[in-house]
Amino acid sequence: METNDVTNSSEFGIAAVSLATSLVEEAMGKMFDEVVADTVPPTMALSILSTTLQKESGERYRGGTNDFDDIDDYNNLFVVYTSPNDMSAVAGADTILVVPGLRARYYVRARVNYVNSTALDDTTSARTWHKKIRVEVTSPRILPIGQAQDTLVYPAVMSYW
Amino acid sequence: MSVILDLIWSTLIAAFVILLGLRLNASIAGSADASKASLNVQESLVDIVQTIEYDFRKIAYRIADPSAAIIVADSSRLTFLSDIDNNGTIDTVSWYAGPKLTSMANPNIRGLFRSVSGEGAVAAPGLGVTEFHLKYLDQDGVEISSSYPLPIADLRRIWIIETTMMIESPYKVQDQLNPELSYADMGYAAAFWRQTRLASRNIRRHG
Repeated sequence: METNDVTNSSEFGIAAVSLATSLVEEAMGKMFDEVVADTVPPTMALSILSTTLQKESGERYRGGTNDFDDIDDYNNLFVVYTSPNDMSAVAGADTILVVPGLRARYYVRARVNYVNSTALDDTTSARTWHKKIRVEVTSPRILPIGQAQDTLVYPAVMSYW
Repeated sequence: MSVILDLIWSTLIAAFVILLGLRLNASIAGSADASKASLNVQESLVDIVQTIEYDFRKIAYRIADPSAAIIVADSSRLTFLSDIDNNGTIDTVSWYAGPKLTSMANPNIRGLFRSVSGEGAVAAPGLGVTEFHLKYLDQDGVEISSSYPLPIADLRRIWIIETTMMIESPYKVQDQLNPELSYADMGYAAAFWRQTRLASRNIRRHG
């Protein structure tokens, strides 16, 4: 049974990694901040960067022309990936994406914070030139031997410069 | 008489114990086989994904007009330009899925091919690729078209490539929850991958 648990856990872990890296990859392709997404300010300074890290009004994940345009729009994003056999609603989900072939349901959550270059593991409320996105993936099927739900965490840092 | 009865009973019990042993042996062998098959598909998937990621990351590398680097964008085929081996010569790299193979026990397995600059395409049917699907999104995260291959005019709009891949074992494996299933009712060991990747950082930055 233990071997099966390990095999299952790694199978779902592989898919979880693919979903986490996908979201990070997507976010890292956006601009650093809203102030540089729409226009290029004549002078860049920390003081004009966003104080609240969140999506702007009207913006939606994969929302076409209203799609996210900067990395902090991903803050508090909650995406559910599910198979066609399990279409039930999930409270609080921003988007539910149905993926044929998935054999489990995956909950993908993102957090974005400012960080200092000297302490990338710690978040800061002050504005800096570095933002860290932290993607967490859980699945009811990622159950290690202890049977407690595990979480895959995938962080990445984007810098303005 | 009692001796004969004892012999009959002991024979029956011995037969029962032997059958139990054989059944246990079959179950353990089936479970080990299923674990090995799962491990194989996971390793195959990781191997393929590493190669795909390496190649896709290099789309448009050293191309004068990076936005024109993608030449063919189909639902299961991608052809692009890149100096993939960093030797100063522009290569044409193709990834595509072939038709289903009839020689495998798993009828869904197909060859996944990679060719560089028209040299003989390399395929690895033993890896067990059963699904290789590509989707192309524009800068706003919207699918460019559901009609494939994409027309030439749309190739420059490709911003994100979404790759979906499924690997299955070449034969069915014992079900973990119900080892009593017949072979016909068993399933294949499988591993799934979906990667959303910027077409290339060499192309351009969002803005």
